[in-house]
Amino acid sequence: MSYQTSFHILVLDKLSVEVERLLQLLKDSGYKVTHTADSQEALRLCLASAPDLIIVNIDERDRENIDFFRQAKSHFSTRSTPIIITTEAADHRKRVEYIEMGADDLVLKPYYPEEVVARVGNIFQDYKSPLISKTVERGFVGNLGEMDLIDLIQTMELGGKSGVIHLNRGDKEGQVYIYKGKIVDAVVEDYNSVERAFLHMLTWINGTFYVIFQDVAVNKPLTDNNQELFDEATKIIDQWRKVTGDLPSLHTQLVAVSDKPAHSLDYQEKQMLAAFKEPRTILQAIDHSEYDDIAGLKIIKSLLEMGLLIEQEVSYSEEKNKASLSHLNGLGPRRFKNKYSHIFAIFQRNKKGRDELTPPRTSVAGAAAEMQQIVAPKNKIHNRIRLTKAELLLIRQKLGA
Amino acid sequence: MSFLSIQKDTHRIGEFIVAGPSLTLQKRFITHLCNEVIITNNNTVFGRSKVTDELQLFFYGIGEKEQYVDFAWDLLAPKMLGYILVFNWYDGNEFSSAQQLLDELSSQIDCHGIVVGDVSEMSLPIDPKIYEQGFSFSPKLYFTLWDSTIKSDAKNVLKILVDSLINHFE
Repeated sequence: MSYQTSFHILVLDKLSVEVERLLQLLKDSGYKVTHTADSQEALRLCLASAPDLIIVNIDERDRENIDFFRQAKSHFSTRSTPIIITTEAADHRKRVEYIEMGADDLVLKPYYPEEVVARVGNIFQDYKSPLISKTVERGFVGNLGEMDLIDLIQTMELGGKSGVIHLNRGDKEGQVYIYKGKIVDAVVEDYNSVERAFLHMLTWINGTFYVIFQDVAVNKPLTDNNQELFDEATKIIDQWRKVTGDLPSLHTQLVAVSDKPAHSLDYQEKQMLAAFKEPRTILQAIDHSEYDDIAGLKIIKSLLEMGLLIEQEVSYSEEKNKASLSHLNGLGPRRFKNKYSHIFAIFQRNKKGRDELTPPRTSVAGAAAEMQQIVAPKNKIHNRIRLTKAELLLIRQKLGA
Repeated sequence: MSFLSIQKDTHRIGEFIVAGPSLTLQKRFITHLCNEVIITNNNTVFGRSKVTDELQLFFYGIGEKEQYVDFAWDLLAPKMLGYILVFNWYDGNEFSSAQQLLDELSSQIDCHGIVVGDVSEMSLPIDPKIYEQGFSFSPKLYFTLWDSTIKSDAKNVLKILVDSLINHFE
């Protein structure tokens, strides 16, 4: 399942050639799309299925959609759902008013449907940002090392809560949907079945999570009895810990040894070996393997024992990246200690969650001095600009020419 | 639901951090821009400026006391629109402190910001070597000089920062 298919877009507008083209383009882009021309129906759909984004057409002569927009912005379950307004309103004051009322974007009609799709993409891009604290008005964030998926589900089950658990491990992300403490859906990229996605995420014992309490569309629960699932999950996690205990760090880069004969290998081993034709980490290999995680790890272990996989030497520049982060951990050479150093202790918490993005490397002696000058850009916090362009223009106007 | 209550729900806020080695300059910058300024007993400064009934700007001067500064960054850094780093252009120590702070900020957070050297208090000439290293700027960072005694200068500083945010959309 692609990432985009987990996004549901509700379009409230009368059907026209333009709207039909938009609906088709959104579907082609992988979004789940629901269309209605009736604002009451739209409201019902919002409450029933909690769309990830709403596109609503506002016609000044027709107040119904404006009322829908206001209701959507005031109801707790849809208040934080991004809304794009399409309108023919020529008056710029009216357009600014819509934005002030909470629209995330505004598109003038007639529009190019491609433009609307691009704007939808931009909004979701912001929501995919690794900076997750923006979304946790009614939830919490944390580290999977301290609280794993089972702990999280048990917590929600105890309170009979509904919401979405978002998990991140390395460059992968997944969601588990909980309705009144019961698991109703699980989504991970490349995993087509709910069960497989859920089992895969059980082994994410390193990484980050954030939980949003919200209404969740009710599907059939994955199981009527969470306890059975927890028992099974505990076995899987124990197995995972056991197998990983026999392996180097999952961030270790391995590469296939090309001059060793591999003809005695079975099909699975050959396939896994081929995955290491170019150096990659163990985690990357199992994430992209067609086998379940534990089976994948066992194959890698066997290939390592046969000497067909070896640890990859890291380049000097990679090592510099690691050193650049070491001052944050307090483990390696510190960049400098000044009166502002304390400020950046706050980033450690954020960085801790992002460690998965930067695999640890083996050491290279003698590089420490130069290492201190380098900073890994991909670990930066990226701020989303939380005002719209129209609002910024208003500020600019207030400040004067 | 009445329209008034909806308005209340849809208040929009743009937040800026005003940082730097001198709390006095932080206060001065915020006071020039805001019609409502609160100085807390933790030596942090908070200023509010109304743009429209629905849109306000908040400015946080985050002071010097370590425990509060730490807490303030924790809360504000992820949601701010950008930061304004103010320092006394003629004070070598403040120049170096601003350099260090900018380096740290640039390495940790990718957002818009402006470095502002106050030229209102010319003192004894300082060693030019202090300036040699300069500042390292990413494309989202700007530099300007200002006179902290002139109110309109603070507006000009904010204009540069807001323009850079607007350009981000283009």
